Amino acid sequence: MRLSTLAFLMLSVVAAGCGSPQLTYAPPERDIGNATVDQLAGLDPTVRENVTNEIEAAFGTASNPVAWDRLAVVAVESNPDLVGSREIRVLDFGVIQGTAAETTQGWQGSFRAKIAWPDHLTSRSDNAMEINDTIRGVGLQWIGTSKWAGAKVDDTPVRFWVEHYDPRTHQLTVGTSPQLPQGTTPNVGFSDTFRLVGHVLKQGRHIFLRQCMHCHGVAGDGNGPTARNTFLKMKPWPRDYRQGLFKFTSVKFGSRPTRDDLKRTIREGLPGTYMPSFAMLEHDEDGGLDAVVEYVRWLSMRGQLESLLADSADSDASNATPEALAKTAVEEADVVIVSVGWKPASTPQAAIRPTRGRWASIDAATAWLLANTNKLSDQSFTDDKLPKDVLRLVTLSDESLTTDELPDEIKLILQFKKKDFLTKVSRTELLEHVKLANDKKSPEHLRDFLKSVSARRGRDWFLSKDTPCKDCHGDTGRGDGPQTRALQESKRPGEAGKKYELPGLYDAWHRPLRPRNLQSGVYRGGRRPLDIYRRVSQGITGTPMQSFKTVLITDENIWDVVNYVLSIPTHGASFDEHGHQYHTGRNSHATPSHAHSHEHPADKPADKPAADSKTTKPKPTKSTKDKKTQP
Amino acid sequence: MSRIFWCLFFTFWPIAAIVVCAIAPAMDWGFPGNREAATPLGQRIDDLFYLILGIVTVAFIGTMGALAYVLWKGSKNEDEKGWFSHGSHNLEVIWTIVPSGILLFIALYQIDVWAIYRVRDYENRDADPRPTHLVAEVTARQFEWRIRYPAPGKKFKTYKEVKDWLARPHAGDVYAVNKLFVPLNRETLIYLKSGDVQHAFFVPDLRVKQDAMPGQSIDIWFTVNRAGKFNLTCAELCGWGHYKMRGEVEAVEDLQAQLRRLKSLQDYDGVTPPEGAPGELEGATP
Repeated sequence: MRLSTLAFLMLSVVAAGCGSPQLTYAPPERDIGNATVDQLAGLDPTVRENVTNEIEAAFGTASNPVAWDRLAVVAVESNPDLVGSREIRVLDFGVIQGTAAETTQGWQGSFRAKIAWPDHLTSRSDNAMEINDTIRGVGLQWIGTSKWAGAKVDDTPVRFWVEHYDPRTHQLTVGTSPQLPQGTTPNVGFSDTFRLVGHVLKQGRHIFLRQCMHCHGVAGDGNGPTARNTFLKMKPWPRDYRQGLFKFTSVKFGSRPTRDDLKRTIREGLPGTYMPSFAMLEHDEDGGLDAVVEYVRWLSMRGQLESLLADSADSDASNATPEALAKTAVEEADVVIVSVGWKPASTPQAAIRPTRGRWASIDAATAWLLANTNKLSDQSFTDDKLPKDVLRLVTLSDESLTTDELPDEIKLILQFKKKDFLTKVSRTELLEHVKLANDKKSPEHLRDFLKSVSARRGRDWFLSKDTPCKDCHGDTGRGDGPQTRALQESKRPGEAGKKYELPGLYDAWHRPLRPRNLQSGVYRGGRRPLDIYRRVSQGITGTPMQSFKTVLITDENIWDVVNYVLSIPTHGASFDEHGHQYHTGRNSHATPSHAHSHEHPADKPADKPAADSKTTKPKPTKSTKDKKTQP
Repeated sequence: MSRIFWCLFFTFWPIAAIVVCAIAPAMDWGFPGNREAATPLGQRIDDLFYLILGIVTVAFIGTMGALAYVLWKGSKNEDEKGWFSHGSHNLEVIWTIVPSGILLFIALYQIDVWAIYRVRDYENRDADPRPTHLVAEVTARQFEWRIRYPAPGKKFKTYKEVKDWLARPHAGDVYAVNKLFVPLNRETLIYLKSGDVQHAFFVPDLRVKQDAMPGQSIDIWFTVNRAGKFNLTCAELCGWGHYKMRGEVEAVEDLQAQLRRLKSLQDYDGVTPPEGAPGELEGATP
């Protein structure tokens, strides 16, 4: 007796660890001060039920997300005749074409069909179990005028879905729900074609639950079991997808990311955060990365739609009937999804790219200077005759210019020239470097020199009062600017005019944020010049790092800033009077580290007498001007 | 009846051992990497394992065979009285000296491999020209392998230069994650760091396993003599995402070409296309 009780207890303990965990989507949240509340909890019970039901109808439940065929999902442009589709192509959940083949003997509530298995998936056909798992439960969408499409049982439209798949013969067993009664089976239409939509999403969900859910949560709310761990204290928090905001993108500030952006984040990881690289996922599973990206987009859309419904139900509860409201919103789900910022595939989100490369201006200036050396020494040759690539780096005369007849581009540059914080190289200094480059027959010398001028201009921008770089990142880029110690305006809903309780910066999720320490050399959004360019020119969505394109205007100016930022970890944040960068990192030495190393010993003898013979020393004046403009 | 059973039982095991040894090569039972390490040192480590396996197998089959023989013989002989050997000085001396001899032999025989693997490289660092073999710094962190190569073409002459390079980022460094390129048929030096907790750099095919300790740069030496890709895993339970720490080591003929390719991808400014790999640029997908 006692033994059997013990055995029963032990069995229950063992069995408790078995079985798949119950997955549920977390409800949408709203910030109130320090805490978040369930956004749905505050609603009228009937409204709440409606919102939940409608979202479930469009997206399914967490453990059974079957209803994605309710969204207009089209991927193959050449076949626009999908039943129920609109000409909006937002989602790409994977499409496989198939044909209904034959019934089993007597109608048993299912029939067989054959599909054209996509080539790129055939390499996985050795793993029949996994493929079956990917495709099972996926819904069928009939193409054209199929009798199956209109099938109804007691006015309920019949849903067709894959009950079983045999990877060897590519035969499907198609189940229906509700089940068609035996007598009403349509006997026509066995050559009708259909699409299987959503196998990519299913694969994505599979990988997401295995690799991502632990931090990002089942609903993509950034609140998975690991994120909730009190001892781990993840900072930054895992991303909450449900606002549709993603930090490191190639698009305009605040816009939805492109698939490539998400893919890049998953593949490369975010250095300096808990987000590791999943580069090997590509090798493990064909199309695995694409599938996860699609699932993340889908979760994000779901979260946005849910929040939108809860909001509109909340605010319009008095006049419009919430039931009708929720119904329209879901029936128009694809339209809503576009309205919250997701672009259809036919008009993709435009990735921002510079129009000129990082060194284009420097290369052009180098070439012109070497070709026109004799003009430079001519005192009557003035600034307005220089091409703009040279003019932005060089000043030949200090007289004020009449700018009326000049082209707009030159006017803009001359306007900047008047802002004395911007580093310019004088005629004297320039001639020395041009001469040296000509003597050594090395254009690289002049190019390196101009590169260092670009970095110095970048530092001037960084410290200028026109750009707020230093306010957050600090004068030396350590991420310790004055804003990190100031109280910030609260952006929580309903807290207009109030401030956050603690000083420092906050992100769009109302969580404390630290500006990047630019001396560390760790760049979360990637270290390519293009990545830094995008951080500067379009900002980081969801953070106080806004787009600075409006201040810097031209690509050349942005590249100046990028060149400076990229030089900080290796060359330091400050310059000495010769324009050489001091290394101010941990291994700080009194010796300057050279932005253009091979040039320093060579140009010193040439530099000294020239500076002595002139009454005006350009460099010291420059550095005092620098100090003046620093706050 | 039970006598026969025990006779058969103890006869079965030496026979099973012989059968397993005989079919093992055909069944592909053995060490990772098609039973052959992709490094010379790994092959010597394998040889040691096989030597020990051989000694153990011979001892096992010998003792089990002897036991079976004695049982069979004893089961038929019902007249003779047993001889109790307990307390036999001679026997005790034999079974102490023989295994000690074997153990001593193994201990001395493996010293050379161990010295190459762990000890020899700590001597004569500055006189040794081998800093030139530095390939990369690998930083294990939860849950990925961050890799930093020196700038393509950069040569290290002394350990002082190596130490300086390890201490801070340098201009021209090439960064990568989870995929490590190493040269083929050339001695390779890798420095292993940890960004957070204890990890272990484990490449089964190369027989390389080294713990990464927070706050230390640990040098790993190996020479890969087979081109190909090898799985890199973490062999120290490092946290809840331990299973995510998958990487790849690829041995290539021309390491510098790979570094130049990675560098040009890293220098991509959105306008000038990097040389080599257009496939790794952002595509046209929305």
